Amino acid sequence: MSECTRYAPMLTARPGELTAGDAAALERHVGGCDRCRAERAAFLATEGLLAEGLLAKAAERDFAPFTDAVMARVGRRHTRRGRVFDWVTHHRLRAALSALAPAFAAVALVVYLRGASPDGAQAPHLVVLTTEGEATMVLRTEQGPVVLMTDGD
Amino acid sequence: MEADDLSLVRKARAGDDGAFQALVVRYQRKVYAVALGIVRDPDTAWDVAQEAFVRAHGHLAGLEGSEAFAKWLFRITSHLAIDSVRRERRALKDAVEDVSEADLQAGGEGILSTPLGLDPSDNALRRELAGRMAEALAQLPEIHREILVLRELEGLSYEELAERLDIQKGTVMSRLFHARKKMQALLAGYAGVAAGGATDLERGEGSEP
Repeated sequence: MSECTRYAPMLTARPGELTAGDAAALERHVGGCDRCRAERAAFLATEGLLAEGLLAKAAERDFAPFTDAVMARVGRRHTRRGRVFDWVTHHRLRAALSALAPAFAAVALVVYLRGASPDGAQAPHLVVLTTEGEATMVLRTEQGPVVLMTDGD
Repeated sequence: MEADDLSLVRKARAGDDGAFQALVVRYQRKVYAVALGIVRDPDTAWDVAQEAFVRAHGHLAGLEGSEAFAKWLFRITSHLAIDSVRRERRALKDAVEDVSEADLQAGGEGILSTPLGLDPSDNALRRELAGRMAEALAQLPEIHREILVLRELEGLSYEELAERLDIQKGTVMSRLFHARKKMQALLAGYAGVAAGGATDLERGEGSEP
């Protein structure tokens, strides 16, 4: 590897990017090498031009539709997120009640059964009677049977 | 007075779409330029740039307070652009890219300073050469386009390039050198070196190749 091939990749290093040893060795080499001096001068002369060229190409375009498209997409995300948030908020109470419904039912059953047994009184219970293919629900209570009417009755 | 990026980011995080739009307007051209430099195709670059802003918006909460919005945005952009390009080709191995004597000769020595040598401060000449460099960039291999754009537009250091591209620092330096030499070779005709003597500009000819 010649001195030039070793140092050429370092020619466009910015301050602080090379170790102190490499930076010093590079300067020593460039100081005595016309080719590397010319190479570095060329790189430095055109530094930043590529960025200028690409930005100039960008500047040729009308970015109004770009801005609109980005904001529309961002807005849709907002809307989707908003809808989900609204749904969760709206349904939170209902969801909580639904989740607790079995617990309420269990507590009610326990209270009912305990309330019925201590004094030996007969707890009412439901009986289903079937007559001529039609089912009728009868609740037996201490006061006698109570026939539960249906919509069809 | 224009609001700084940080205050706009804070407002955008709080749901102020106007603040985010101000950031879009501020950076859309550069984001597009970064994407264009890597993907080459203007329509793909347009899509990549839009996607970069949408992703940035979706992750504003994850932006560290001390991290510059612009740098973060360009990182998202170049990631998306590189992903877009890489989806269409097989992975390249990270070979050590030594520089040979032939590489040193490629493109001539110092040719790109030739047209500017007439008057380095001449804005018309700079603009013309800049435009030609942007066009020549599209002819470079993908790995060279990537590294040049990350270096020249995003301004990444050797260390940052090594981390971003997952290559060694030595490879960063040699890859950059190869990229610049290929760029020189592509622009040799413009610089007039191949013809010898005066450049096209020196001869007073037009800017068309």
